Amino acid sequence: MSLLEIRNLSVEFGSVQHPFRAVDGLDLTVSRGEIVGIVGESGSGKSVTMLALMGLIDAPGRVSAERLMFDGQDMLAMKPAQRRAILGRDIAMIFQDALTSLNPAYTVGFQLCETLRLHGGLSRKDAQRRALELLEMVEIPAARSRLDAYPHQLSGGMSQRVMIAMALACNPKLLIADEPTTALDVTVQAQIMELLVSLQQQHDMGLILITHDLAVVAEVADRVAVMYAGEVVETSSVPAIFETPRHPYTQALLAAIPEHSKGAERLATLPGVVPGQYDRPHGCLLAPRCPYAQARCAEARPPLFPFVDAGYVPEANDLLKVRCYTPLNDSGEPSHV
Amino acid sequence: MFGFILRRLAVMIPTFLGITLLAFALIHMIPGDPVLLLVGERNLDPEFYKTAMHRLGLDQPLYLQYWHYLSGLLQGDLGQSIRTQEPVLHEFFTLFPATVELSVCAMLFATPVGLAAGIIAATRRGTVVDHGVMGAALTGYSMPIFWWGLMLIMLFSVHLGWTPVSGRIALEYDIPAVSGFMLIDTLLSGEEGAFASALHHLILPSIVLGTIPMAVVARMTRSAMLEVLREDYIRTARAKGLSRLRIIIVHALRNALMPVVTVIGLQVGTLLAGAVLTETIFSWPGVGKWLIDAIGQRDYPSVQGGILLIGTMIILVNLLVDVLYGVINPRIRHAR
Repeated sequence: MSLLEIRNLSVEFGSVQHPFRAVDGLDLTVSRGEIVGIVGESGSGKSVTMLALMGLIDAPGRVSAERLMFDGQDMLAMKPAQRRAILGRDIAMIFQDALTSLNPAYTVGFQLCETLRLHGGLSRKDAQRRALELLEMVEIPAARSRLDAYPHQLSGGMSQRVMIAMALACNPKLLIADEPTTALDVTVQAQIMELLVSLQQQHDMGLILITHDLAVVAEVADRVAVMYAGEVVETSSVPAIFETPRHPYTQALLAAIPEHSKGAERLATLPGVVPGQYDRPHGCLLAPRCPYAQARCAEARPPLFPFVDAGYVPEANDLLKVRCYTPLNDSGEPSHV
Repeated sequence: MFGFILRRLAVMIPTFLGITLLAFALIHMIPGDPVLLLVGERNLDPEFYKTAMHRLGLDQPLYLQYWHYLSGLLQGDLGQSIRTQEPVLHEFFTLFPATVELSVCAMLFATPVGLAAGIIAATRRGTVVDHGVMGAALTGYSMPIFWWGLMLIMLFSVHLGWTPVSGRIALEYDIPAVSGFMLIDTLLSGEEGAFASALHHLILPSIVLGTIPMAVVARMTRSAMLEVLREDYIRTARAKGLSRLRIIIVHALRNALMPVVTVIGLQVGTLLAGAVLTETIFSWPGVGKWLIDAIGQRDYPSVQGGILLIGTMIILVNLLVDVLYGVINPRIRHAR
């Protein structure tokens, strides 16, 4: 049984008459101990999806889903208080900008103990001791003195470690990391990723890694979902998606990696921009930019097709889904031309 | 921190000088003089007028009068009241507790109500509640104090008979002044019902005086809360599964308090100015009413001394507010 199962999740903003769909019909499953990467450019709905899952989308935003199961519990049927009991305990989240994600008015120790006392019911003293353990777990030097430090006294990497410690305080089953290394400099990025993955393995957590860094995904993720303009356009397993992308957008995304254009004067790009609120195509969202677009692509939006390919073992087939009428074959050409 | 306070105190000196000059100039610009007002123009004996003016030193050129006043000040002498012959300092501090008591009660009313109103409006942004609360705050802010006071007296004292019309305590009590604060003195006196009577007398003046600060606090709290509630750390707090109440009170309010404390500090000036009107309406025997009477009588030393002392209070409170910042905001604490 999967740890998390999301089916047909949509998030809308704006008025009911003219809604803007930030996330449109998203499906996602995560198992225990699995790392799932969600990639996509800014504004593709990655973060909004996770905030919706946590119930952190405020009015006037509207969230709807067909199914939202976490660890055998139906999150759609839960009252807000029941949902809050899960947040921070079974599902934890870390954010892109750790420095601003910590409350500047309270010490690190206070913010750590708050979670511990809320969900663990620990006494003040036990919480203090556990907080220290957590800081040591995330390899913060001089952990004891850091308990009394305020966020502004920490570096970016250090605050992200504190955020991780806070997220892991109650041994969550699922950790959502929303671009956890984007705001950090490159050397620190690697350390934080390494720490995250090792903790993920130690605790056998499910980890959803939101990023636009394909290199990170290639290195650590088991599976990946590629998002474009609020929709998942392709899900696949990790070496496969890099070897044989099936969706034209994924192909274009990979082509834009600098290493793939060695010697070229310019990086490969897709012409045009992501559709906004008022110019969303009726058919496939990528159709206006897609080099392989056909007439029917503009007529109706393709569903997420399971991709059946002779080269895959049957069990793996349900992993691979592509939202395209003409998914690309192994040589990167549209299949039905 | 200590150095910071010393620096701030040093900056106060020119401010003081400015206050004395301004107070001196303004009161002397008003036509009429104390002798004329005491005796009356009709039966004035020119000889008597001359000696009286000379005795008060008012026949000297203004710059000399100012100089004498300043040199007196440096020796801690604020002069004597022309009306009562009492030292100004003594008169002021006899009456000052009454004003402080009223102001403190006004703030005790204004701050919690204003904070609560601001928080409620911010968390229900854009709803009927928000518009209602903010509309009420704007109305309160624009209300002329003297009119508002009279209306409340009409309704609660005259028509409903719930509160007394004026004074600090019912006439039947004779409370010896120990601290000057009626609430404390009545408790010390042990007289039954005296404390309740004093409290009863405080309600209406406190509401009248607290209305404008309350409105200011409410508006400032709302905008500060709205800003803070958008911060990343609020999202973190929600992701921790904290209750809405805890997020608002513990995580948001503490950060939103900075600008609110600033305006509360700034309100002390407004408060003392408002006290002048409120005390006059409610016949409250504080420095506000005393100052109004002194201006009416051209009691130069009292007016000058009173303004200087009130100015000092305002400066000191603002210093206190600056010190409080450090307590609320750890970033400032460490920067010093």
